[in-house]
Amino acid sequence: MTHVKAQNITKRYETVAAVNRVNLEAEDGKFVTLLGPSGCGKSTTLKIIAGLIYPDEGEIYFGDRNVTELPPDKRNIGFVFQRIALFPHMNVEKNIAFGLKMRCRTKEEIARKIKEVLYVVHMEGFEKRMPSQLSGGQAQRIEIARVLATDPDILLFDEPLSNIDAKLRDELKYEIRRIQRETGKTMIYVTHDQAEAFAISDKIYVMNNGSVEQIGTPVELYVNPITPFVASFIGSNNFLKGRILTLDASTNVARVTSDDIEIVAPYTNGLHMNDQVLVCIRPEDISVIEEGEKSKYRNVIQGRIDDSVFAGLLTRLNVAVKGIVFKIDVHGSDRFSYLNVKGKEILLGFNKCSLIAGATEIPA
Amino acid sequence: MGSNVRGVNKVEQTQIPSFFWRYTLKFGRRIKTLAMLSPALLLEVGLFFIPLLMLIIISFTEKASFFFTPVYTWINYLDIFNFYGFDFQNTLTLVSAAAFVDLIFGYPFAYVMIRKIRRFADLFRSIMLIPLFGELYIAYGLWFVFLPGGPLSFIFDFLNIPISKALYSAPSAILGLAIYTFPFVVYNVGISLQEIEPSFEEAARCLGAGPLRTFFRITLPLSFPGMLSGWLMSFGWNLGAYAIPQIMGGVVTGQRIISVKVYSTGLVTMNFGLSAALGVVLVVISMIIFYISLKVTKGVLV
Amino acid sequence: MNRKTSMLVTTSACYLYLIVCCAILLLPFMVTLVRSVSVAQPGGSVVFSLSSYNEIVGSFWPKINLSLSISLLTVAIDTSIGIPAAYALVRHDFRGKKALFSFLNGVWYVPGVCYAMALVLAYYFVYKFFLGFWGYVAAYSCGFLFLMLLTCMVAFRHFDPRYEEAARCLGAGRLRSFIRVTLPLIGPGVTAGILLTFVLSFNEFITALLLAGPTRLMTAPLRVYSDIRMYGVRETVAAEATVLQLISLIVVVLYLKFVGTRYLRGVILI
Repeated sequence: MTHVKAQNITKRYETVAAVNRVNLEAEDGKFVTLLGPSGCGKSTTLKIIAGLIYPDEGEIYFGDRNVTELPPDKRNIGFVFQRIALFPHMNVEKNIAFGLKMRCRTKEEIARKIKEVLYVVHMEGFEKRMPSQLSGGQAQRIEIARVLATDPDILLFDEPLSNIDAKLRDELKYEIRRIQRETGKTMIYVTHDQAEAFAISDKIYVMNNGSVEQIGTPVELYVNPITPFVASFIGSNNFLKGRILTLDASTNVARVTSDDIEIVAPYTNGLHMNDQVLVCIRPEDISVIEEGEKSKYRNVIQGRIDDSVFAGLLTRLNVAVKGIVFKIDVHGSDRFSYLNVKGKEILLGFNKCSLIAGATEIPA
Repeated sequence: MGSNVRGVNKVEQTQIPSFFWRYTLKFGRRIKTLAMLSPALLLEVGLFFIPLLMLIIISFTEKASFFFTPVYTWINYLDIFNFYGFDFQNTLTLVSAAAFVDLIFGYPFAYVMIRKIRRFADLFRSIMLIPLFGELYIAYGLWFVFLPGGPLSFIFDFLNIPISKALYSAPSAILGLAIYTFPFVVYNVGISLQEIEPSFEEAARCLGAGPLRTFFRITLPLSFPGMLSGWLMSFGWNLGAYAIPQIMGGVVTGQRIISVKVYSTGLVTMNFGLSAALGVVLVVISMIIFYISLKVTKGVLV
Repeated sequence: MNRKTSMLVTTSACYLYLIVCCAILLLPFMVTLVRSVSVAQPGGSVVFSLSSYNEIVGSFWPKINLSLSISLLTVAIDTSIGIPAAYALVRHDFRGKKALFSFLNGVWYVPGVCYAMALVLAYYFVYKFFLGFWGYVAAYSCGFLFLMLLTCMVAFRHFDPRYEEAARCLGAGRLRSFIRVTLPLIGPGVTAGILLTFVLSFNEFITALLLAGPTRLMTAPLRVYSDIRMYGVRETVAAEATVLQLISLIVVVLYLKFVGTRYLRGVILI
């Protein structure tokens, strides 16, 4: 139905660029998420796409229509807000009917549409309730129903679940994905919750300080972060600053030296000898090994356990290796063996890690 | 040992039984509350409650008889009913008209202050304080403006309105009253506008409503309590206006205002009974108005 | 950039509307000011001159003094009565609190003339000795207490009791924690009340109008009122009015410069 393109969007407040030359593309029917910490500009970008904020530079296209100059009421969009925006002086029925009334639909059509959308969000029977009588989750569903009623070209959701209880959040995010799949509308979704974004998105734009740091599917972002920010924002990581010693183009393997530690890492193109790199190793990729297993791993280091924390699903070990503290996650039944092991000397082995070029500082 | 924590030491030393200590604590707090409130209470009872009581009592006496031997009678209220109907009607009309004028001009003012502007907001807010200085100055200044030969008289020449008609008439009194209570309306409307989440208006825009439709269907209904309480507050406050109607209204309209009548029947004609009765009626009307406005705003302070 | 220009036009229109409204609000003052400095010459022309101010200095200055002292005393009394009362109303809970609150603010609901008339009658019949200077002070104290109450209550509402509790836990007694922690934190809110009480009591003239007879004392605004009725358009009268307004203006401007509008919001400003 609609392919959304935002080109070179820039918005400045005083001297600060809240959104800085952002390019975004959401293909027809896809679920695209803007992910990032508070203040990174994701909500501002979404509001610019909606027309609630006018950009200083840039253009927005819905399909091949340039909508940059259009106000929000002329763009045919469905915007769901972070804080509940159901009109408090109208009941559920009137709220849903509002958009349809603006489009001058007949009474029968409106009644039919209300039934339809309430069915989609599983809220039949709530027509006469007032917004103040609804719980957080119910209100959010009605809000989704309200925007669906007008049959918009695209859906724009601005952190809709951040004011909902954690347990409900889990259910609702899958509801949102189901509705998007069923209606087949292009969705641009904003959140700061990485797990939420991973669970429901087709494509994720990771944003920080007004710019897009990386674009990719959840797997791509997790396995191959290309900036230090993405590496630290997505999941957990151990970071080492290093310099490339050797490069082997045939096997795509690099030797990196970091302080006293030498690491063998897989790499893709773009690196040269003596380049400064950031080595990122995920805690779950490091295993605690026995002497005999050394040959199975390209990298083996020795360390001493400083601390161990039992977190239910896993046990996290803080291991000191030559002055640097490594975070290791132990899963499975082994995790129970590391509950009182302070000071124990252990061997660590890992194969998978990623390299980020041009990074000189370890991210916070 | 910490001797700063005096209370604990006292208990240890004197061995007060625990139930008595608990009782004293609760009672002591009540005493403290009473002590803090009593000066205010005393002042109010002495200089507010008792004077009003006197007013009510004297309203039932005949003329200045209270000064000598009180003669109690209903005649004052009968007189009001028979002869002062026009004055009440006049007063109430002027005051409600002023309240409407305030609403018409004050609502956009409040809306713009809250929604639209970013700079100089403090400056505009500060200018809001000026009408509070006193109605006397508003009356005097406006009087100058409307006088023949005054700075703005050319406007009247331009519009072909004879100045004498413009000056001492209802519209100029209404203008003066409107200026006097403008801040109150702006304040009340502003408060209720502030409580409307901007996301309501944004949601309406995204659903397809243009700016005008959004305003009339969403903003206006939601700000109605503020409009109502603002109108009521302007009405109630203007009931006590004295200089503005008198100076601006001229002899015909201005003298037939209740507040002016209270003064003139009292200290000019020496008919204290009637003056007090007029005062009582005015107080009752005013209290009803303010009571309703408090109900509307659901006074949140206490 | 069609939308950008339309937004610019809207914003300019908004500012314009605000400016026009404010100009109308300031109009009385500006006109009085201009009138006070335009003296008619024998030839018929009008020149800028401060002579009217010179003329009134002698007779008006003592009146200003009187009004100032009445207002300052009123402020002092209202502050010492109002702060504890406001504290009790906000922090303590007891039966009938709402009723008591309405009662203490009763003066707000009573039109000025009625209250003044009631006061005069009470002075004459009940408090036969309460006349003169202190009659004014007492009347104003009661009449403007509600201003102090409301502003102090707003100030206390915003003041987190945790600060006081922290001071108590650190060893400060009730009085010391009040003076060193509570007072500085509510200070700006209280000064808002002081400002309003001062400005309104300084410019008050209706009660003065009725009290002038028995007390034979004329406050400055009352003097202006009677001069208006006697002399009307003369520049001396305008000068008197301007002086009074200027005093109030200076006080307000000083307050706003040092404290800002923050503590007046919630009481009288949005």
